[in-house]
Amino acid sequence: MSVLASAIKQEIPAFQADDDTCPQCKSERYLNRPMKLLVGPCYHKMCESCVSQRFDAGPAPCPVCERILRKAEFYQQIFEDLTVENEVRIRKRIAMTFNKRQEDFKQLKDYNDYLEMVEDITLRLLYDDDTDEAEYMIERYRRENTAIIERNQSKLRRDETIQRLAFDQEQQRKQQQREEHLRQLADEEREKTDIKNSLITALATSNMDAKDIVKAKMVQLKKSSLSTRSMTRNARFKAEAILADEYDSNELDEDEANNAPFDPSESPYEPVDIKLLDKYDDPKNTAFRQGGLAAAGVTREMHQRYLIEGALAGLFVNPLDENVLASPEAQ
Amino acid sequence: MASKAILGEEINKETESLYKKEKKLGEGTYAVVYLGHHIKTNRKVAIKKIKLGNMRSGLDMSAIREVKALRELRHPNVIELIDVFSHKTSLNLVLEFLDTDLEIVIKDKSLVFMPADIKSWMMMALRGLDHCHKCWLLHRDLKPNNFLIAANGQLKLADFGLAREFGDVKRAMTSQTVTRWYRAPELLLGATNYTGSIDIWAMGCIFAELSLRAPYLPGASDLEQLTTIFRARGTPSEDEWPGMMKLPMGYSFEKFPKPQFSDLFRGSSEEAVDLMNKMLTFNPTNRISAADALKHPYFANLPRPTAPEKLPRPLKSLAGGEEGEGGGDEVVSVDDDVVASKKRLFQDAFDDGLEAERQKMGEQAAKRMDFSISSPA
Repeated sequence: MSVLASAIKQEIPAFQADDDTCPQCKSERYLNRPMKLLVGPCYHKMCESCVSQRFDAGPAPCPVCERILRKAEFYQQIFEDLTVENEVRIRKRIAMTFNKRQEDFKQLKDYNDYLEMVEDITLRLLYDDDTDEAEYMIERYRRENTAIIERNQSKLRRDETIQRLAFDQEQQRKQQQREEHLRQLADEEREKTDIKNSLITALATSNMDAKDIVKAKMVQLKKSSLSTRSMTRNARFKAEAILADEYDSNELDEDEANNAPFDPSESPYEPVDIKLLDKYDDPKNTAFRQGGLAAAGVTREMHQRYLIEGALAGLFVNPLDENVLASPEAQ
Repeated sequence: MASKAILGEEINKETESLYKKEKKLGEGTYAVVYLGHHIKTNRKVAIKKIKLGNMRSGLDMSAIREVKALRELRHPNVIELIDVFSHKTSLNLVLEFLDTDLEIVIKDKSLVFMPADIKSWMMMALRGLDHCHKCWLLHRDLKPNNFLIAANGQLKLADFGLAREFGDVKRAMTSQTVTRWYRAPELLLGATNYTGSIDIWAMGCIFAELSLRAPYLPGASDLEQLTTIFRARGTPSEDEWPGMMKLPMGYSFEKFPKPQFSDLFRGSSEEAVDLMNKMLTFNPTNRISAADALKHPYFANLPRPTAPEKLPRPLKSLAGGEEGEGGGDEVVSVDDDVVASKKRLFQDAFDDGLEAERQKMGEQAAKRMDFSISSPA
């Protein structure tokens, strides 16, 4: 779970300092112990009462930088250093959109390129370098990859749920173990006293030799405690195995096969990348001077590609593996 | 020389002996289609027998085009030409056997299309087309009944009787090609050189047809076709399509306003409509290419395209069986002359009962889609 999410759930206490002062109403922590200092998206601080005073009626400008802010955008500071705070928030935001995983890529190189791009956007936002373009890139990426983003978000949610479940179960298991151990101790104690009592009665009532009676009872005592211990241990192993099984079969991959990454422009042929020059000198070709070709979509570039590809066709193509194309519908 | 000829004949005979004809599936003016099988593997094949006897000028042009094109192409979404052999005076093309076609699927009103199904068909069709264009080949006759469907649901591009190479600006091409309703505006304006964008226009029309379950631009005549297009998509301005007036038949057309495209395609997603718009762009230079269309977010986003095996298909593939390999009636001599293609269109409309029915359906669709009403004047 991310730092921010756990902070929201109050698992990590917000950052507080003894000499905190609200820059707006100047109230100090020394006088106002429960004061909550909030930080807005422009990283200017304000105490909670100032925020509600200013922003309860709707969006209003920040008193320091005049940026229009909303009440919902204020949150409690987690890190002492606001630049860290800023970076964590930006990274969190980026990770919401750019959530592709390595398994979404066919090659490691593609994945690395993708990570490089994400880091580039993040740094732009961090250092306020051409933020407009970065925002545009994020938006474009979001639009182009809605499906993958949503799928990975649901995957992430599922992973988190599984983690939480596992954590809860682990806690429960430990609790049970502790209880069982205590019960065992109590049982042993009771058994001991029982045997002791029976020993005393035996000694009092039996005609046998006192030494023999004591010996027999001691053996019985040892046996019983041993057996209970080993029994419980066996039972515990079994229970653990069952629990472990449950984790595994937590319907992890109900349709993983259906969600395997696929490439719409997949082809059995390796594309041969022929780099064209920007311009070719072709004085004899007068066709393009007359006009009219462009209106039908025939461009000089296309014509040149046709000529070059025609000249080089087949030179770089490996013979196809017959199996690739062996028609699956052969009847 | 003599020994070579004998060798050739022997090879031909050997090829012929590999296949066995079973029954006649259909007959057209220029070819007969038989169902057959490969004797050793028992693989079902369709044998298209092209009659040569009544040819004035040698071998039928479309047969040459088809063999030429299919010998070049091998792709999961393009029909496979397995063998060619001659028998007496006839030429026989051994093609893979496919049971039904997209037109039958579209017309079967008992089938319900999910958006994912349409996506799957479009993806397969564009993959096949992209492969043709990468090989510098234009199909020039894309329409639903030239997309055949295999038993496993794979969509395959078929009937390459009009296919030809493109890219060379020095050789003129005919503008009288492609079945009228799927003909791109630059062809209607008489362009004598064009590119893969004419196939993309046809794909756009098919995309729209899959969504509407009725032809999108059913013009009654060649001239009316352009008016139908302009009425549906708005007359392009000089900015939108520079050089339009320079085309042989370009003149000032009646100005129709642009109707709201997405109104007609309420059931389609935003991305589907966006891709359709890009495929039906007037300016061929700006029209999306097959490769770029496959990179469009429409294909990457949910819902995922249906697996081919799970696509809807008609219960009876009898009609498909009869039309098997694009139907014999498809094989008509169309050279780069106007008369033949006129004849062909005439035949398409009257020879074939299906076609006539389709025409009727198209008229109904046209009535339903009165674009002028919904658009603000």
